Amino acid sequence: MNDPDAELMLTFCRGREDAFVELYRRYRDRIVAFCRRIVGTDAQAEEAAQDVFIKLYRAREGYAPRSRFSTFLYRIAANHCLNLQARVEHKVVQRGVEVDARPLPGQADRAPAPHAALEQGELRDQLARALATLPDRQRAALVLVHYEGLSYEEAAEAIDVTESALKSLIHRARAAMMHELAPFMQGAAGAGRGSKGARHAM
Amino acid sequence: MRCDDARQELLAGRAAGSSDELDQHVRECAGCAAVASDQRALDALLAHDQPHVAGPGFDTRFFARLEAERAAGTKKRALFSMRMWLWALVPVAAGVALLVGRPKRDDAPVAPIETQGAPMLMEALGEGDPDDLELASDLELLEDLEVVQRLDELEAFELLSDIDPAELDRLAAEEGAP
Repeated sequence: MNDPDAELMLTFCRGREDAFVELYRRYRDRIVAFCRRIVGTDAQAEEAAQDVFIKLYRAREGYAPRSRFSTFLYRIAANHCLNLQARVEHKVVQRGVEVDARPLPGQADRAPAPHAALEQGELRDQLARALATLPDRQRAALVLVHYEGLSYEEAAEAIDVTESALKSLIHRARAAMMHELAPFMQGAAGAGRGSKGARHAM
Repeated sequence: MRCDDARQELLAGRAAGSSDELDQHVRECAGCAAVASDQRALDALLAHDQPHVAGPGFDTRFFARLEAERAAGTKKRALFSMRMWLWALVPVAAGVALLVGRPKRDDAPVAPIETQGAPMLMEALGEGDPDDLELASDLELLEDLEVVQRLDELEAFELLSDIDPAELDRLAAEEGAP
């Protein structure tokens, strides 16, 4: 397998710590961005990203390049973030608070018009909110494929599901996002169509 | 390509231009073209989401954690290594203990144990070395018992020796003994 990052990891496994630092530099921003899209706050995301790299550091003893290095690293990141989310939701349930403390779906309807939103950065906020309404696995699947550019096969391996299950997760995630972003969709794709096509297709 | 297959692909995020077959179907089918258009619009919206970048001090904090991890790893390895050494020493220590605690057979003559008081027990043990403390203790008790019994016999013999033979004959005659 011609994967320079996997080669770097193997070099690190042989005791060269500078190889680890190079991997950290290559993947830091991507892992921070990934974690931010999965966990709640910037601070939590940065903490989670650091945890991921510490886990990567510890993984040197058992590392074997069975897949691309990026898939291996995203697998660590996805597991870690999904576990964090599960713990947070478990705590919320234990305290008797409503599990979904995220904004209600109706809030998307009160968003400002697309152009103003773009100018004010509110579209980004709305996107983040819409992403946050997705169940954790759907969100992870969508982020891995859409934002991180993993193939279906790689993303499926990263979150430990079959490829068809991954497609199903993405399908549902995109349908939910389309619903959440309906007002913006009308602006983006032309009036009247909105998510009608998606609903028709489902 | 059938509409169902095309829509499955489109709704799973596959762009319309990603395969010739899908592209051709979208060009020919108005329904699927609408779906493809919606999906493109969604992709355009998703593209507005800016990735979060690591805040200031992120690297400093991370490398401090990494240093702590390295130190912890070194300490753990040292402890592990020490434990391994200790485990390796266990058989050696056991061997030494066996050698030290082993009864001396050849070096110095061991005082013979008085066995006449416990012939049955010695038979049961065969010719084995009575190196068990419990066994030795039992033997001592048997010896003591033997000594006491012998003393009793001795006393009885002395009593008999004190009896007058004429008196004995008289007693025997009274009992009708021959």
